[in-house]
Order: sequence, then C-alpha cells, then structure tokens
Amino acid sequence: MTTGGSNFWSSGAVPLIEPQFLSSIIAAASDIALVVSAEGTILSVLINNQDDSFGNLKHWEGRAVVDFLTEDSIDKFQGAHAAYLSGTPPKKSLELNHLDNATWQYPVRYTFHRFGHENAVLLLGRDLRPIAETQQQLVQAQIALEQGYEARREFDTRYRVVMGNVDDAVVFVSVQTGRIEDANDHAAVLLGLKTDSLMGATFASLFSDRSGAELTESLMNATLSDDAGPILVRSSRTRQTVAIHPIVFRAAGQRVLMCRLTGEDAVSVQPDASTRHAVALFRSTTDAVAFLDMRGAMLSVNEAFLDLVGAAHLSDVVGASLSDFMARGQIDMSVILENATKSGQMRSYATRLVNDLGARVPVEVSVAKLEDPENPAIALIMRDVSRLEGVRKAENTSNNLPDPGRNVMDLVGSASLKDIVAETTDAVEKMCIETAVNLTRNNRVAAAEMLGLSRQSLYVKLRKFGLLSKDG
Amino acid sequence: MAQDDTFGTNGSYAESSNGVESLAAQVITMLCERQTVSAAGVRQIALDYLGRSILARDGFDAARVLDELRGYRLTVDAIIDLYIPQAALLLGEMWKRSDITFADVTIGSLRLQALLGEASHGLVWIGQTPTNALHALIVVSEGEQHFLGASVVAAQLRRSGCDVSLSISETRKQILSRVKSDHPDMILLSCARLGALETITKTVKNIKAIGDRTPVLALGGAVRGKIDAIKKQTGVDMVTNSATEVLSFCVKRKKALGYI
Repeated sequence: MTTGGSNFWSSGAVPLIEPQFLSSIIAAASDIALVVSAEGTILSVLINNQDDSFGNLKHWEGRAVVDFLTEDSIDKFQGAHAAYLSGTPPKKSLELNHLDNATWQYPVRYTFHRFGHENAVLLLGRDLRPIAETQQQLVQAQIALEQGYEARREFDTRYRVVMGNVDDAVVFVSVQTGRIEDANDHAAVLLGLKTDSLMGATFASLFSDRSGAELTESLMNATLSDDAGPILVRSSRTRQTVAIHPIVFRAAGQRVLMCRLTGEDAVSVQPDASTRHAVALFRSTTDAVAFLDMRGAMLSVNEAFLDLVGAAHLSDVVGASLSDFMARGQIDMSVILENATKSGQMRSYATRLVNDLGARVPVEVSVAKLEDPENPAIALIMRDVSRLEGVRKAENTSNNLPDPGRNVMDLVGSASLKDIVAETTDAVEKMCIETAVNLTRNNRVAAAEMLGLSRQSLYVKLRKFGLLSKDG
Repeated sequence: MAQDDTFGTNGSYAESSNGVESLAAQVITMLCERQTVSAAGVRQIALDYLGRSILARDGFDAARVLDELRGYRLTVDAIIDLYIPQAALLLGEMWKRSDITFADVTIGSLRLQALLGEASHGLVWIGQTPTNALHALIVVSEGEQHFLGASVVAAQLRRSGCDVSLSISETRKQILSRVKSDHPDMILLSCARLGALETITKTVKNIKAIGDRTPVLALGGAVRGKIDAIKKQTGVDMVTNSATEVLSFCVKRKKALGYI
C-alpha cells in the first residue's frame, strides 16, 4: 500500500501498532468491519464510533456470518470467501445485505483484506443505507406511478364498456391525420370491416365518394354549424349510405372528431353451399390461411395461422403487415406480392415464419391473387414443413456425405489462410446468390433486392459464378 | 450441394474443392445458429441489447427500446413474457457476480417496469368484455423491494382478458378490505423470500375467514423451497409462477362449482 512510488510504509518509519489502537483505526476507517475466520465465524465486529445507527452488534461475535445475511447474499458471500481462502481474494468489492431480527436489513459494500494468521479475513464495510434510502424513495415514486396507471385503467375500462354497449356506431377520427383512432363494433358492422381492421385506417378510404381532405373538411364544417345536417357518404364495402354526425373536441392538444354513424340496415345474404364449405375449410384446416390486401396488410387469418405464429388473438395479427411474421421480412413480402400481381399465383415458395418466441418455422407458401374489382386481395396457404425438413436432414445425414470437419482439416495447410478465406467468401456468395435466384423463380430484380445488391452487381456476380448459363 | 453444380461448370468456381464448400457450409450454419433461440426461448442478441439499454448510463427511453426490440421481430407478448423476465434475471446474476451494484439493479428494474408499461399499454379487454371478465388481485407484500414480476403477471392476465388490480406494499387490513369489496376470482400473492411466508400465511388465513366464495389463492415469485411444503404452510391452492395455470385453475373451479 504505497503511494506515488514512496517507500514510506515499508521503510520501517511506521511504528508497529498496538492491537487496541489497530481496532480503533479499523473501526474509524470503515463504517463496519468484520474479522471472519476460515470457517466463516465472526471473530470480531468493529463499528465506527461516530455512527451509532448500527446499534450493538456484539451478539454477532462467535456466530456464522451467514446467520446475518439475506438469502440472496449467502451464496455470494460463500463464493467470495471460498475464493479468498483458495488464495484469490475477490478483486471487486462485494455488496451484501445484512439481516438481523427478521425485519432489520441493510446493505454494506465490503472489501476483503488478509488479516493475521490462520486465514482469517478482514472485511472493511461501507454502509450503503443512504443509497438504499434513495432507492426506496425511487421505488415509492414508482409505486405512486403504478397507482396512477391503475386509475387510468379504470377510466379506460369505463370508456370500453360505454363503447361496447351503446347502440350507436361510433368512430373517433384524428383531424390531423384523417385516420381512425378508435371505433366500436357497431361501426365495424356498418362499415363492413372488423373492428381491429378499422384502427389506423384512413376514414375516407372506407367511403367510395370522398377524398381524405374533402371528407375532413365537410366534417369540420358540419361541427361549426348549429343547424347542419349529417354528412351523407357511401360505404365502399357495404355499399349503403351512411350518415355521419360529427362532434369535434381536443384531447392532449390534438383535435379529434367523434363521428356517430347511422345507416340503412345491411341486407343479409344467405351463402350458397360452396361458400359455406369454403368458410368451414378456412376455419378447420390445419394449413394456415391468410388474406392480404394488395400492400401486404393482413385482412383475415384462420386459427392455424395464429397457431403457426404463436399469436393469441386475431387482433395481434389483423392489420399488421405479413412481413412482420416472415423471416426475411419485406423481402419475402415483395416476392409474394410481385408474383401474385404479375402471374396471379405462385406455388411452393419456401421460407420461414417467425413465431412470437422468435423461433423460425419453415413453411411452404402458395399464393393466389383474388380477382375482385372492388376489394382485390391476395390469399396465402402456408404449410408447416418442419417435420419434412427433419426427414430431409435425416436423409442427408444417412447419405454418407463427407465429414465437413474432415474436409476443413484437409483444406487447412493446402493453401494460405487468405486464399482459403477468399475462396470461402466466393462459395458463400455463390450459395446465397443461387438460393436467392431459386427462391425468386429467377426474378433478377427480386433476387437483387433479397441480396441487397444492385441489379448490375448481381449480373456481374452471376457471370462470375457461371450462373447466367441457366437461361442466358 | 457440394458435388452437383446445377448451374453448369462455367467459371473458375467449379474448380473449388470440397473443403472450401464445407467451410462455407459451416459458416452459413454458424450464421443461421446466431438467429436461433436459447433454451429459455430468447434470442441472445436481443437480450444483450435489452441488458445494455437498462444499464446504460446515458438515460433510457422505453418507447425507443420497445421499437428497437420490435425491430428484432419480437412480438409484444414475447417482450413481456420472456425478455423482460430474462433481463431481470440477468440483473440478479450480474449483482451476484458483483458486476453491478444494487443501485444499478434498482434502476434497471425500474427501467424494465417502464418498458413493461409501454409494451402493455392498450392490452385491455382483448377477447372479452369487461362485464364478464374474471377479476384478479395481485398482492406484493409489505417490505418487498421489487414488483416487476407481479407487474409482468398482471400484464399477462390482462392480455388473457382478466381485470387485474395490483396491491403493492399495502397493509393486511387494506388487502382484506379490497377482498371484501371487490370479490376477486383469484388472488396471486407474490413472495420473494422465505421470511415473508409467515405474513402471507396470516393473510391467507384472514382471506379464508371472510368465507363467501373464497377466491383461488396462488403463490408465486422468487421464493425458493419445496412447493408442497410452501403450499401446506401457507394454505394456498397452488404454488406456481405461471399466470396461465392460475387462470385455468380458476376457470375450472368456477365451472365445477357451476358459477360459469
């Protein structure tokens, strides 16, 4: 323990300290100090005379340290003590929580120091109670916040009950964005969509006869006039006339329109047998089925799809982009959308879905574009092929392929590392390009996008690896 | 793959040895493995990011961290059920290794709490209407330092359509008053230490003494010990850390008793 290279401490200038003075020095230099035997028994407790908040701890002497530690600190102390005894005292200071008389707890930060003979250890402790008090205040503040959240949840619940039980169809629309912020089930029925699908949708997009700006302006004008009647619009899905009764208000600085909707009663159509069968198949098939709009947003999915992606509720999925559930995200979706748009269908597209645990499930996807001039959609049928993949892997293993480890051993030494790495990079590049070309049905634009390359770079690499020969 | 070049033999690549392709295959396998999940079901890369965020010295923005985690293609459910509890465990492990101080653990836990609040915002009344929802009371006993676990369970139950109240550091009298007035269908008692079991035993006894359709009583938390012994000591119906188990037990019992 020298400072600045001085040999003052080791030069003999320091007198040997009498034991009774040493204990007072140790007590004064720390908040609490323990001398612990190799067996873990407290030989002595020294407390700073300036601070009487620890009380009298003389009863600790002669008892095991662990008797005065909380559960979470016992293992921690025992590990550090064992390390000390084996000759490697802990380099970091050790935070331990002391426990006495069941309710009395406080944290102390200790450092380990060799002390006397017979492997006793001196633990110099810093009282961390001031920090613990601040910590408690923080936790109390958080508890107060939590109570605030509870109150907010109660208001939220009341609002949900009102929205779910009133006879009116109600939609909340942001004036700034023109998008629906909330809507109840009656509104969803009137507009021909699921409630979840309405959230975030542009209000005007649900009507065939108004543009966004036009509709918002009409609604705002109607709120300003006392005698203005409702705004009449035509629903693009149910094709019925809907009357909108708007009220404008401010919430958190933002202007919001509460629109009460009224309309003609929807005409119920009895579905024919094949429609009923199709619906039953959609519900009961083990293959996942999903319908997307032309931009890839989920319109509806069946139970099997929810199982495949591990979603608990339809609302977790409907309205989300398919790319959220695909392992290659936007790239997968571009391939699907492009093929559906160009050729109307695609079969056996191999990819992986990401489930809610982040695990990837291999699937084969067939895609069909549904020709409906009013509401065009893309239908996807996905089959989980993880079992099939397992069989393929097992077959490959049993095909007596050369042991890769063996090959690498043969390779190392046959060329310089630089050459091996360069060749390996080429091999990886070729494998990836080959796979991208296969996956995109030789669609070079999609393949380039999948690989994050420009079209020109892809061509250069295709030529380099001789892959242009496939179809010129 | 290594033997058959389906694209013909043009170009210098055809001359490559099996060894290079095997190495490349191994590289690709390794890259794939980096995407896989650990035994606990988490992707290490995402958990590492979360661990760094909650221990960062330069502030914490829960909304931004949630966005980043969503960027790892994690669902909100996975963030609540897996990543937040795993990050909390990570804090405990780091404290045990003396890598961080208990103040870091507290700040980290509060940040996880903020993330949980952000992630569970809007997770109310999905799938059920408030009028027929089961009501759960989660009790974090007096003197407990952390209530993150209880908050995670609350979020999980809310997601399952339950109405949930959280009682943190309330006296036994306050808890009993809640039970009398709210008639919860289930009470989940959080316990981190064996020492707290005595208080919980008394609370359970008092709740049972109220009579009148005793709710399902479940005990969970970080407490370690033999499940049967804890169950016998405290008098609870079950000892578990799974919100789903408690919910399903509650539904089964209500059905058996003809309440639903």
